[in-house]
Amino acid sequence: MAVKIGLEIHQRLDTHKLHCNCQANPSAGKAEFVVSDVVQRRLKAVGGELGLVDVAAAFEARQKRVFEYLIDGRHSCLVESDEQPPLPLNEDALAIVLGFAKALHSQVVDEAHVMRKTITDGSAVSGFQRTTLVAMGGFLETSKGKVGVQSIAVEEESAGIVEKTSDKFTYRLDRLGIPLVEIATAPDIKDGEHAKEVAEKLGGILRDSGRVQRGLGTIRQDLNISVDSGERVELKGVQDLRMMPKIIDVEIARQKKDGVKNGGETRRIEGTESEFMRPLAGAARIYPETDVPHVSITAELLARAVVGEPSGDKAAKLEKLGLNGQLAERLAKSGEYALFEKIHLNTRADATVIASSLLETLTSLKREGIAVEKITEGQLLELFSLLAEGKIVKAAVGEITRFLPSGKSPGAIVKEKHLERISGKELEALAVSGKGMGELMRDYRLRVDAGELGVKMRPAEKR
Amino acid sequence: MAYSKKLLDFFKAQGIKEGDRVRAEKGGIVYAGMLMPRAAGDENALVLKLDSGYNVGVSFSEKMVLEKLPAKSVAVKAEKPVAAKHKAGLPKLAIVATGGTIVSKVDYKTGGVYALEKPEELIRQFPDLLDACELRKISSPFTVMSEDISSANWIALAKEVSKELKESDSVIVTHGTDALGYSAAALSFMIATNKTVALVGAQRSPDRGSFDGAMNLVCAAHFASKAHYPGVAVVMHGSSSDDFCYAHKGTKVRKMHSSRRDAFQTINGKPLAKIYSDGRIEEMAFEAKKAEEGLDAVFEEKVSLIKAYPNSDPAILDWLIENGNRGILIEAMGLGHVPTNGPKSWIPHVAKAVDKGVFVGITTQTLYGAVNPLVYSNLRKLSEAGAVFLEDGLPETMYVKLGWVLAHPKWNAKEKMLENLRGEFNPRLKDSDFRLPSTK
Repeated sequence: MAVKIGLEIHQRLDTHKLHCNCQANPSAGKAEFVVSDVVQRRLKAVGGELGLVDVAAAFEARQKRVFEYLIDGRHSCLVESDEQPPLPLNEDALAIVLGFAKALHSQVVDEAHVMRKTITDGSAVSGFQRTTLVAMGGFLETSKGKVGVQSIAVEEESAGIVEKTSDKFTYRLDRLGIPLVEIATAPDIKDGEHAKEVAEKLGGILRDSGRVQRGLGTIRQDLNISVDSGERVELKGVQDLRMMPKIIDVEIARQKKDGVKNGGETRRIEGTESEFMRPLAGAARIYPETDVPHVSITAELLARAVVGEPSGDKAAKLEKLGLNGQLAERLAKSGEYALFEKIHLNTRADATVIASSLLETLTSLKREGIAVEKITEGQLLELFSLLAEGKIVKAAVGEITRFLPSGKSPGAIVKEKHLERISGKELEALAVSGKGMGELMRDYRLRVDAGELGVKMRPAEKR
Repeated sequence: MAYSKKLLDFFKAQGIKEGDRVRAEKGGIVYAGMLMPRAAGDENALVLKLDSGYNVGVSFSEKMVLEKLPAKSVAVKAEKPVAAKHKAGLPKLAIVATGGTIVSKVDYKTGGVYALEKPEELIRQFPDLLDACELRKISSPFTVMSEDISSANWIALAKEVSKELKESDSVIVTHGTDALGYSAAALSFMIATNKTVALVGAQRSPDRGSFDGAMNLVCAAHFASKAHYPGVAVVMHGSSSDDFCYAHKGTKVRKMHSSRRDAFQTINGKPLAKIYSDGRIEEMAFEAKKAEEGLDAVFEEKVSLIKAYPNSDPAILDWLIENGNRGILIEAMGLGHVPTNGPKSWIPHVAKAVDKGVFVGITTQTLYGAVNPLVYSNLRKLSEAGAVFLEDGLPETMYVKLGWVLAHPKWNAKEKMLENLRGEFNPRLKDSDFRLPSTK
């Protein structure tokens, strides 16, 4: 049996939108989505560049649905609403993607052409997603040899679905247009465990740039699988990398049993199984975006490529911030370095506390089954600001983190769980309460800094 | 824009032409795909459509290896549309196409836009038309971009529409949107009819799923076939949503946004009707007046529309007079002000124009509201200089009307310009006729 496995990774970039000046990061913001406008549209099936209607497009168009778009004017503009022509390709996004191309030894195209990829499920208001091929070829080193890179593209994120009924799909437009890098590997992946490794390694390279969004849904993995030279199946939306080996095994077994229909299928992953979404989209659905110029990839542009720092340099920098050698090395090699830098730079909280929270607390909470992937960057920034401002003590950080997946702000959790730091007169009162250090720390561990309490207590009272 | 001569010679030497499947090898990278024509960008880079569907530009280099590959049907899995048949007993409709994108298809190979010439082709694109009318004919007296339209085009268009009105119950004119309002005004004055002439356009191109023109066209067909509006109207999206269209009076409509679907709005009044794409028509706000029918397709070329603004140079009026202009339409400030005192006063120049028999008309750049020659002394000075204050007439409509009026040597220009011939003036501006956008 010959199985071919390829991986497609999509990661949102941390910059303004690809073809307009809006900023949005739905996975980080503390602010709620506020609907300021609603528009409803219908889509019709259209011929592509070669004048032919793509099967995938026709399939969706037959459904005659109404698409409703919820607009929060702070995060989208007339470009997302398809009421204004797009701006030229965001060069900052391009610079980030050029960095990935470099890291993956990929050959950058001489002239990048913005294309329209027909999307008829309504998740692109225009009826297409803008996508630009930036580089081809290259490879990733893995424990099982080199895995080839087929293509690296930068494209617009789709609108987020809010509700689906039989005749109406409702989307919100904040997410639409955020730049996504799409990296497709060659079908060189050996097995499920290998696919997981490739996904993790690619994820690390992306995060090393320090320019990717973080949080639930900001990175997505799709799998391309075919068995015995059969038609290809695209499996969309691997949520948890740990499930990847199982998903692959289930799909291989399914293809052997049921075969592949329609000359290729796009299927949505549900748990470890998958369900049919639509026929595999063909090349007919990609045609040129005539509203924006092509981009010549000049030496100047290449020089702007965002390159991640080598981990050795990072580790040295971290040690200067007070991290011990082991923690520094681990953080430098992990995918959390960029996030650490951002939090440290913005909050100036204790570097060791930030580092051990990101590396240890989150991992152990995850082991407990807590959905740490729901924790947003915005929440972490607020959490460490509270620490830096002295509003909470180090020991409370882990406890607050435990409740972050609920979506509540750290400040609200502190209030709710009574985790405010005890200081000043209140602390002095505790110090002279007659209770011993051990007893006090047992009762007030999450609210009192032991060092601070020690200073307040006279040596004689320390027992 | 095309490939450089160097590249074209290179293709020729290799026996390769646009549309061929080729293999290009450069710097160890192999590109395989269809050689596409180049519409813009680097003329020394090949545009290849890869099998994945993506286009890329590959810079030419002397070391490049380019060879023709056997043609391969690109992995296109396409469906053929189905033909449809007319329903019996519906009103007859003719479409006059003038080159807007609405009834065209784009050929990406050449970058050219081709008009759909046969009713069947159009019906295949817009099958919902069959619920509204019997589409008799599509004709095209000329094809120009809307911004290139001229008075000669207006005359040809009026003649064509008038001819089609004899054979059909109503006529739809498809038109690019930038000058659509001007053409609507021109047809309004040139054609007196009890039938409906509906102008329609699109703000999005027809190659995208979100094309707005399909609904505009279908709504226009319903309006033209069923509403019995006597005269010229513009039918376009009523909101940003694909829910309904408004029909606007041809003399009171203006493009108020450069790109939105609902760019066309009735100024100083209410739309004529609200039309849903399923054919329902609501809020009819017009009288089915019987007009004396006829075609009067003439236009005086020597008419100009200019804008008066702070610090503007009134010498422009002298230049226009010297160059033989017989009518000048001024888009003035507020109630009709032009710079009046000081060295840049327009008043002596206006007086000079009037003395020389040039008609000078005053409209307002606020668009909303009417001009008034009486409220301030500076307005009276302009009026006394002989300028004619044209009520709430839109500057563009008044410009077109002036060209049409002055083409009639026996008419009294001032009298005709002030006569409400096609609803170009609204004698009762109501409180609800002006709405500011909300601040959200």
